[in-house]
Amino acid sequence: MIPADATRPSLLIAVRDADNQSAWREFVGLYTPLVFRHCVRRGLQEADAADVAQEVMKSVSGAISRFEYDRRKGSFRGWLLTVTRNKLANFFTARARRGDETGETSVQELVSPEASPAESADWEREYESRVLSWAMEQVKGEFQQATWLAFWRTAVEERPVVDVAAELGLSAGAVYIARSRVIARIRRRVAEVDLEDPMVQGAFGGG
Amino acid sequence: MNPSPSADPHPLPAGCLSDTDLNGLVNGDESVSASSARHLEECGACRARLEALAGTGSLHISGLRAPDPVPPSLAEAMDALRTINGVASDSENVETPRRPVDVPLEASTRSGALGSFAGYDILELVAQGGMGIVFKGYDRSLHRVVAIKVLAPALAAGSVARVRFLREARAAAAVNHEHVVAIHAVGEEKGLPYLVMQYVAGRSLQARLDATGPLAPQEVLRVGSQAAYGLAAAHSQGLIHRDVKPGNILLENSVERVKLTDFGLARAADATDVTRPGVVAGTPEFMAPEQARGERLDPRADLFALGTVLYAMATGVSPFHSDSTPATLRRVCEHNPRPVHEVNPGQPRWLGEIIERLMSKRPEDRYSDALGVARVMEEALARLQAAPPVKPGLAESAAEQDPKGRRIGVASILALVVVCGVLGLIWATQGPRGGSDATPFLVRHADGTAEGFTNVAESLAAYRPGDTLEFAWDGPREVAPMESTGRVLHLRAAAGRRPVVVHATRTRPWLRTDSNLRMEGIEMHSAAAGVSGEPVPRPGPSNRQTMESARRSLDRNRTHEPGRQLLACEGADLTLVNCRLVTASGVDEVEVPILLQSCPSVSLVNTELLHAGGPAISWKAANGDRLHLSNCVVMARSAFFFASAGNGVAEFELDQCTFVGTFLVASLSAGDSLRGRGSHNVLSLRRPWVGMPGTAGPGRQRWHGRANVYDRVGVDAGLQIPPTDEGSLLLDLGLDAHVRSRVGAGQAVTPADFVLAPNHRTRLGESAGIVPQWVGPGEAWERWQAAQAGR
Repeated sequence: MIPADATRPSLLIAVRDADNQSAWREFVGLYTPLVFRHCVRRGLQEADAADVAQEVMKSVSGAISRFEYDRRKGSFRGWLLTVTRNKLANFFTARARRGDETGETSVQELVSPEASPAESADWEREYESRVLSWAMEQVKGEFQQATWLAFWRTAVEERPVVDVAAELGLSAGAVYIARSRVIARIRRRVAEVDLEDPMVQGAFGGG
Repeated sequence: MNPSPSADPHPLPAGCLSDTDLNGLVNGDESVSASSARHLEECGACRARLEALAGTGSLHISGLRAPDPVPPSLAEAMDALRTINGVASDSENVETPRRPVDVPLEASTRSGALGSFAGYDILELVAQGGMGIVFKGYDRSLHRVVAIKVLAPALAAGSVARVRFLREARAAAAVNHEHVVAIHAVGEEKGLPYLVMQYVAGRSLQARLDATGPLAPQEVLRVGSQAAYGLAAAHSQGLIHRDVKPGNILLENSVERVKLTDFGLARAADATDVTRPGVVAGTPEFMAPEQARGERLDPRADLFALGTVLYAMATGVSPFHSDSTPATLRRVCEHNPRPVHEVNPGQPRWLGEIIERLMSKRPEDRYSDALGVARVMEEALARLQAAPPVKPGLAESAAEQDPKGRRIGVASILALVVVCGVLGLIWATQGPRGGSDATPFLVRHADGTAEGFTNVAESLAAYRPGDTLEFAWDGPREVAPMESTGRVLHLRAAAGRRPVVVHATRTRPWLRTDSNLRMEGIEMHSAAAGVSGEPVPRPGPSNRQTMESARRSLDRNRTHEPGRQLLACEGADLTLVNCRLVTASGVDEVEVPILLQSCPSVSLVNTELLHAGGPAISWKAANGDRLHLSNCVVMARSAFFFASAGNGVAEFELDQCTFVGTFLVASLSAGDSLRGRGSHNVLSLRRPWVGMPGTAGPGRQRWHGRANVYDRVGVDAGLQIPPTDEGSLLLDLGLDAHVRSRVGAGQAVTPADFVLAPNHRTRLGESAGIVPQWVGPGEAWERWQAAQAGR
C-alpha cells in the first residue's frame, strides 16, 4: 500500500519551484533550526547564529533549483553543510576583520577546506535528529494522545511496554500497535521531505 | 512498494495475523480489534513482523528529545525567510518585488537590491532585449556599480545564441578603449552566460534622438568621431561590431561621452562558424548591404552602419526605415536615401557628403577605415568650431558637476582614469599623436638587429625563436593579454628599465603559454591589486579566500578559471628571474599569480609573489615535475596549491626564501605525491602543510628541511617544526602578526615596515617581537645569522 500522500513530490523537489510558497515555508521550518543549532554548536551567539542561518537559507533558496539528486555528486545534507560552512567562514572572517577575533581556532577552522570527519558525523546526527523531530512535531496532531504517548514513552523514552500500557490504561498489544502506527507515520513524513534518507530508501525506495 | 516484512516461507500458524491485517494496523485507521491486540501480546513472531513493517528498528528515535524551543532571534529569521519565497527581497518591503524576467536571483543583503546574481547585487533591471537582459548591479568586492548582461534564459538553452553571446563577451573584453564600454568579467551562472560591464550612467543615442530630434552638426561630428574611434579600437583587434545603431551608442551623463556597447554580433573577422552565410544577424535598418545579403563582412560594414547612424542624427529619420524587415533589407541594398541637406536643410552639404560616402553600397567606395573617418570628422568639427582641435573625450571634470550622476560618476570616472591613463599609449598610437615612447616593445633579434613596436601583439608577431622581447618603459603600463603557442619566449626588462605590466583583463591570463618561458626583471600587477603601482597591502590571513573555492576551481578542469592568473604555463618550463608578481583576489574568487600545469621544470629566482588572496602558485603537476624557488619572497595564503595530475611524485625545493602566510602547501592529492626539501628559509606560517582530509595526514608528508627558521605565529597556533626538519629553529618573529595588524588596520605594508631594528637581539625561546627584517628577497637567512653572530 502506498500512503495517499506519499505521491506528493518530496519537499526537496517541491521547493525547487520558486512559486511554491508552502513548500518553501515548510523547508524553512525544517532546516533553519538545524543550521541554527549547528552554528550555536560552533560557538556563535544566538543572534549571530540566527543571522548566519538566515544567510544560509537565503543562499539555499537561490541555489536549490540547481540542486540535483545525483547521489554520486553528493547529498543534499552534505551540500547544506557546505553552504553552512561557507557562511560560517564568512562570518568568522568578518569578525576577524572587525578585530574581535576570539582566537586562532576560528581562523583555523575557516580555512580548513572540508568538514573534519568529526564535524561531518556531528552534522549527520544533527540532521537526522532534526528531520525526525520535525516529522514527529508534524504528525503528532494526527494521533490521539494515548496513541502518541504510547509511542513516545516506549520508543523515545524506551520504557517497558507493560509499564506504559498500565499508565495509559491500554493493553500491551494496543501499545505495540500504537507505537508501530506512529513510527510508520513518522517514516512516511520523513520520506516526504528527504528522499535521500537511507531509511527512506530502504523503506520506500524499493531497495 | 508495499514494505514487506521478512518473508516467511512457512504458512502462518493458526491465529496469527496476516500481512493484510498487520498493514491495516500500521497504516489503516485507528480502529483496532481487541483480538489483534491480544494476539500481539502473546505472539512474539507477529510482534516482530509488526515492528518490521513499521520500520521501528531503523528509526533511531530512542533518546531523541523534543525540539528545543525556538529562540526569538531564530523565529525572527525564519519569519523573514518565509516571506522571500525563494528569491531575495528587502524584508522591509511589503510587496515582494517581482523577480525580473526569469533570471534566477539569489538573496542579497543589500538594502533595496532585487537580489544577487553571480555575486553581484542586482539593483535594477535596465533593459531587456532580444538577446538578453541588462541589470544595473553592484560589485561588492570592488565597490563599483556595474552593468550585468545576462543571456536571455530562453536563448541560453540554444547553442547558437550561447556561443554568440560568449563570443561577444570574449571579443568585447579584448577591446579596451575610452569609447567602448569596458567588459570587466565574463561568466556563466546557473547555466546562463553573463558579462559584467562598466556601468554608463546616461542614455542611448536613440533615447537622445527620440527626445530632441536631429542634432546640430557639431554634435553629429562629435558623437560620430568618438564612435568611429571606438570602432577603430575594435577593428584593430580584428573585431567587427556588426550592430552599430543608435541604441548601441551610449552617451554618458553631462559630458555625453560616447561609449559603444553591445558587441552582440561582433566576432573575430576570420571566424565563420556561427553566423552562417544567409543568416542575417544585426539590425536591418542600420546594416550594410553585404550584411543584409549574409555575405562575408569586413570592418567597412560597420562604417556603413555608422553612416546610417550619422544620417539619423543629422536628419532625425532612419534612412532605410520600412515597415517590414524584408522591405528594409531591400531598401538597404537598393535604395539611395535622400541627401541629408534635403531632409534637414540645417545641415551643411559637406556633412551629408561624409555620411553618404559612408553609406556607399560597395565597401570599397566607403572610407578605408574607421580611424580615417574619425579624423575626418574631428578635423571637420575643428573647422566648424574655428578652434584648435579638441581631443574628444578628454574633458573629464564635467561629469563631476552633475550631482545626480555623481555616485555613478565617481565609479565611471575611476574606470575612465584607468582607461585613459593606461591606454594613453594606445590612444597615442591610434590617434594622431606619436612620441619617443611610442615603441616600448623592442624585439632584439638573434642576428643583433632590433625592432620597436607600439604594442605587444605586433612585437610577438615579429618574434622569432632565439629573439628577446624587451619591455622598455618604467612604471605601470597596461599591456594587452598574450597567448603564445608553440613558441619559446624570452621576455625581459630593457637595460636600466623597471617596467610594471598592468594586467586589467580579468577574463584571461596576462600571458598564457604552452612553450618554455623565461622572464627577467619584469613586475606584473593585476589591475585589482592597484594600477597605480602604489604599495600593495601585503596579504594577511584574514581574507575570504577559502580552500574550498580553490579546490572547486582546481577540480573543475585542466585549464581552470582562465583569466585569473598573471602567468599560465602548460606543459612547458618556466623561469622567472628578478620578477615581482602582485595580485589580489576578489572576494570568493580564485586568482593565482601563477598557474602551472604539468610543467616539467619551474625555477623562480629572486622573485616576489605578493598575493592578497589564496595560493601564490596553483600547481597541477605530473610525475617528476620540479619546482625550485631560490631567494624568493612569497606572501600568500599558501605558497603552493598542489594537485597531482596523475600518479607519481612531484618535487619542490626551496632555499633562502621567505614565506609569510597560512600554509606552505595546500594539497589536494595524496601526501606521498609531493616531496619537498628546503633549507635556510624563513617560514612564518600557521601550518607548513595542509591537505584535504585523508590525503596528506602527518607521516605521509615528505618534507626534508634543514636550518630553517620557523616563526611561531601567535602563541596558540601550535606550529611544530616537522620532525624531518633538522637544525631548524622555532622563534617568535611576529612577521605574520605584523602584516596582519597593518592590513587589519587598513594600512598598506611597505618595504619601509621591514627595516632592521637596531641592536636587536633574540635568543632561542625568547619572544623576538616583530623582526620584519627577516622578510627579504634572498638573504633573510644570512641576516638572521649575522644577527646571531653579533649577539
